[in-house]
Amino acid sequence: MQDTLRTRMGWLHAWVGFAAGLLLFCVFTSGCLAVFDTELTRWLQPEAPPQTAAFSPRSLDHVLPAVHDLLAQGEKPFVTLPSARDPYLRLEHHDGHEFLTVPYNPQTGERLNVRATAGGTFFYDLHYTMRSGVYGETVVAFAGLALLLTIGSGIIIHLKGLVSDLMLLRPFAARLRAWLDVHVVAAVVFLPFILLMAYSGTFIRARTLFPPVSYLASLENAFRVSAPSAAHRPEKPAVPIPEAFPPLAPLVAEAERTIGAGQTGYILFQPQTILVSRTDSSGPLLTREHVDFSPVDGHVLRHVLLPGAITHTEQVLKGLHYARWTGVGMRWLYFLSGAMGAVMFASGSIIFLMKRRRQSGERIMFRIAEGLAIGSVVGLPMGALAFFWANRLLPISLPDRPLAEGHVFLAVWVLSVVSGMAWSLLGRPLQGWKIQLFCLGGLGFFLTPLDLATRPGVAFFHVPTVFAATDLVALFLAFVSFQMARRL
Amino acid sequence: MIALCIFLWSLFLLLQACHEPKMLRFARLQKPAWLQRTRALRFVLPPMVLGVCVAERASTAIPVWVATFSVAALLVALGWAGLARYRELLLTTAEVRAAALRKE
Repeated sequence: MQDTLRTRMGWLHAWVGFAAGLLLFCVFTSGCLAVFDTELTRWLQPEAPPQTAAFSPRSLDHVLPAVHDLLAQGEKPFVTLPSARDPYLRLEHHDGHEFLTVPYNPQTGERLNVRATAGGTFFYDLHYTMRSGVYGETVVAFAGLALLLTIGSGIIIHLKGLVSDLMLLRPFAARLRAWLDVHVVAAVVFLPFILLMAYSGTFIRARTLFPPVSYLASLENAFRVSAPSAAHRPEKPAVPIPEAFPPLAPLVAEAERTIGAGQTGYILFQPQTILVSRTDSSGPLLTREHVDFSPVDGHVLRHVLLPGAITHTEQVLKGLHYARWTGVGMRWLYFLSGAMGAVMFASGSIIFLMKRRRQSGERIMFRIAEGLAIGSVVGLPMGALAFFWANRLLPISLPDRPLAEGHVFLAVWVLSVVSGMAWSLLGRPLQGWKIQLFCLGGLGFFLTPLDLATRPGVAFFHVPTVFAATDLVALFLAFVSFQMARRL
Repeated sequence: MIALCIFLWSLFLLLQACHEPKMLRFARLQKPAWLQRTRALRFVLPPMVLGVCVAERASTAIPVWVATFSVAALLVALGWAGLARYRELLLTTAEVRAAALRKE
């Protein structure tokens, strides 16, 4: 009975795992990069000085003309206050894909002259929509359900050796054995994290899975929204925007009397209200508590804190998933766990192909599957590195620069899929893996020289942490890629 | 704090690995005699790590406790694989030398 169940679960685990695994690899990879979105934005705007003066609330008023302009364009701008994680005052707005940010000096309120970039939030958008709007969001939500199914079947398959094989890693054994060990260690050891992310991620997107209207209408709506690829055009506000906003420093002080000293995270501007909101870093309970002010004379309109057990459950799950409450150490733990999740999907896909190569290696579907695996497992990291290269190499005066960075990312990814597919269809998949792994290694290895060559005011013995960490992670990725290419 | 938690978890997992016959066989090790005396320590370490996490910040103790366990397990798995490879090479070299000596 148990054997039968295990066999059946094995089938389910392999097929559902492979079908959803290639997409989930992209979701986990982009997710672990999105954990450091603010830090990556700093890497992508190297002109901003690494050290800044202390925050002065009066500097907020210098941002107001730019806020007014954005509101007039129909955007919903917000100002992020400086924090231990990010020392600048930032004016942000969502362009339909990512949050575009402009840093300001936190003491004087003077705008810092930096390059336009999609920033680290590029990976955040990629993580939960695959840059395809509501349609992508739906696909990712269903992939989350598939992940829960795969985890459940995986636990049943591996129940016998769950404790004894917990740390059994044999990288020098036969190839299939070695990959199986990598898969099991990555999956079992990081199971709590992967389960938490799968459950909370699916929970957050529950509205996509269980829409309030019928599925048909919901899907129709999804296609209608995501079909046109035209640039994001915000609607002009129906309500008139006030000519001048009240000074923001007294508003922040007033809000802090309610939500706690030093707990203000950002200020959101709407034509009818100014929302002073609690910082996301205050704890795992993502309350988004806010005090609303009138944009005309600055009097308090209301204090909003959503009560109820269901709301608190949602807030905790969101808090744990978004990880905005974490310090540097915990953030690295999230990053590492996300990376191991990606390793789990990559190794699982490779095992799936290895097991079927002898029997079905000549079939066209197998070759297409292997081409897609190459394009996903190697192509996505290559695209991500190409995004960093594009940020430093594209002309600073280029119009629509953030969009161009995204296009470079997409072009490299598509090229990788096409090349992987071509090598696979020609019957030489190993060649495809090898070439792309070497390309990935090269892009990662030369990112450090590129950073040193293109970062203004670089000093070799005083490397700010965000730059050093990004370059070292790219170097490590290059080392792993070269090793894998060598051992294939 | 995170480093301390990872260290304590690694200690626990090393002791756990020393108790697993499969792990010992893989690294070509004998079960050490002192292992019996560390039984209590093995059971005390996980709650001790949890205590450290709670003392640091109660609201985030469980995520930190679990995440540091995962990282420690990965470190021990990598270390154990390295140890097994080292011992394999060591024993192979010793066997080759013994065979050469026998020939002489």
